[in-house]
Amino acid sequence: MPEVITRGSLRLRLAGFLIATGAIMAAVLVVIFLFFARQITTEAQDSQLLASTTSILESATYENGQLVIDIPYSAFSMLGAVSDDRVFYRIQIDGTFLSGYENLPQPTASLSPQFSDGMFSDDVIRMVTAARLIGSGDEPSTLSVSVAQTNDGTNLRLRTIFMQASGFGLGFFFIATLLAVWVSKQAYAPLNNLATSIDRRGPSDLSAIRQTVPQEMASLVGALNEFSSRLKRALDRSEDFIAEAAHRIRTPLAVVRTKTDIAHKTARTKKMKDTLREVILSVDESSRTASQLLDHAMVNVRTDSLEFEPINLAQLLAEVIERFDPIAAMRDIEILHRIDTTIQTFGDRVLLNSAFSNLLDNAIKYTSIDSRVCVEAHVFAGNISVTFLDEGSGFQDQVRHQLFERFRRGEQINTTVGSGLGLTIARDVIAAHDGNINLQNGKEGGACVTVTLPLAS
Amino acid sequence: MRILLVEDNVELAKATVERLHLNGHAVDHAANLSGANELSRIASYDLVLLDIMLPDGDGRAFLRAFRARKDNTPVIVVTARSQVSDRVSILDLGADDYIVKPFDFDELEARIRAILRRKSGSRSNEVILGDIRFDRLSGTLKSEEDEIELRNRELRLLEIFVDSTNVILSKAQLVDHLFSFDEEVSENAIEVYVARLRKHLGDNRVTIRTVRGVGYKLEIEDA
Repeated sequence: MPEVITRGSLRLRLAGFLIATGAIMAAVLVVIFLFFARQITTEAQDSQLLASTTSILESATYENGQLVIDIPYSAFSMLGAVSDDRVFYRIQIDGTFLSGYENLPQPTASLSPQFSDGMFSDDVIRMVTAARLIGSGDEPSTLSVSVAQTNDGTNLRLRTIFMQASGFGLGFFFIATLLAVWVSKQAYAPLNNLATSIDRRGPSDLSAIRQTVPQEMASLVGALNEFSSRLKRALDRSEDFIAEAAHRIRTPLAVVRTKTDIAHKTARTKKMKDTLREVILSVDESSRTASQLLDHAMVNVRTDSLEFEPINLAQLLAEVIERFDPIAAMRDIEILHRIDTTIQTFGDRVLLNSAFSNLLDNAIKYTSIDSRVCVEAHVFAGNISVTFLDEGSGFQDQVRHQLFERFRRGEQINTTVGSGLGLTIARDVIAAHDGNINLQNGKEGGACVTVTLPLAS
Repeated sequence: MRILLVEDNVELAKATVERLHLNGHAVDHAANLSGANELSRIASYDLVLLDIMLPDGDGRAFLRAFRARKDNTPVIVVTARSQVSDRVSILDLGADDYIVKPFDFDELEARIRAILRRKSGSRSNEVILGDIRFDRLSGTLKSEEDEIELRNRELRLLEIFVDSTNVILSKAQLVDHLFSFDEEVSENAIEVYVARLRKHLGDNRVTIRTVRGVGYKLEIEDA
């Protein structure tokens, strides 16, 4: 069987696509997760900072025309519980610095709370500034309080969240990969099932595929069915053609042969008889050639679709011998046989019959008048050995190896009707059965053809 | 022998009938299945020669119906097809043998003889030749003290003599009868077979007499 050229794998490709999709989705999930996590952490920090700022603002009062700010302990204790974050603050009134860190970044003046990110003494900080009007009279002052905190705690929290999110993303990716492998296997299972069911078919089963398949495979199965029905039609046509050709050739030959036979029987002169005999021999020769050409064609058609079955070789040989018995008897030739009745092999009955018939036919044709032909079959060295031995003049050494060629005949061709295809047919059939065929001369000079076939295991 | 020939090709049927006549057979011809059915019902035959491809159907159908009627007449199928698978199914349907067109009439006779021998069982078909009994089917010669099995050509030679007792048969006629077309033999080969036959017949009231320059004839002395 020719090797199938493949490139890539649909299953791998599908699994690859699915895994890549899984990876992208996992990454996107992690990013989205982190984005929201950052937002939530920042909001939490902001609200703490704002609460701290507000509590400082709330603690500012005027006592006896003096602005008194008593920063409550809780204003800073509520911050920085998580880590070593440092907290800075600044209080100013109407833009004039009162207390805290003067160098904190200056926010734009506004009464509503301002949130901003900034840098302070090489640290990234988050800062909230809130203000309120304070004082009496017609001109109240604007008291503004800023509280800032370094980001260490937030970052720590974010890092933890990032680790968790990554773990979650990896888990997701792992599950997605498993699913991808499983899904791609499932998706192509119907293809494998189809291939298996086609593989299991016998060599001559060319019927349409009846299996239920997914929609996507309908066109493939349709094409397969169309192909096998075309193949079947072609095979049927060639077998029909062979049969029809045989009929067309043989019937007119039969008319000619019978009429010539009658003429021969009733001819008065020897010269006439001899001529008519020549005609009959020619007809027989063309008839045999036609038969063997057709047999040869049949062998070619059948070896392409071998129908192997268990065969009782003794029975098959007995049938062949029985068939040739009357013909051999006409020439006073006796067919002896020594056949091991237990021999079983695997093969195509029709083809083996044809091969053995050709070999026995040869033996009967080329053995001498009033002699014997011997058919032997036995198991030898783990193989089946079938021998056809005649008492003719045997093969001539210089042509023996050429006898398998088509239309090649031995030296007795002048007196014996033959087409030269018999051995070719036998060899082709035996080769198709993994056997071989060997031409030798027997000890007493006759031709000895030995066929070796594998034993049915 | 009475033979029913079922063959649709008119030319071939005519020639076959004529050729079988030459061998001394009576032949009825049917050109199609219905004719064959009709003839096989009204007459009884010793042999049916059946073509498979017929204009009104398959010869196998006839064969099946014929055997279903428990008609045991030997049937030889004449086929123009070569596939052995075909032949096997023919035998399974109850044909006794098959022969492939174009065939040698001597081969046909040989096959008929083989079938009759197979079918006759212990039934014998003896001809009395003076002190000797000749069984054509088994090919044996029996005398008081002896039983001899004849070889095929000896048998056929004796048959032709028995069928034409007291008729002079030429060497050429005998050669035609005993040898097939592809056997190159001289007329003198006949002498060998006649000598063998004389030896088998022994010193009895049956003799094969040489008619010098013409041939041989079989004579049976009255007791």
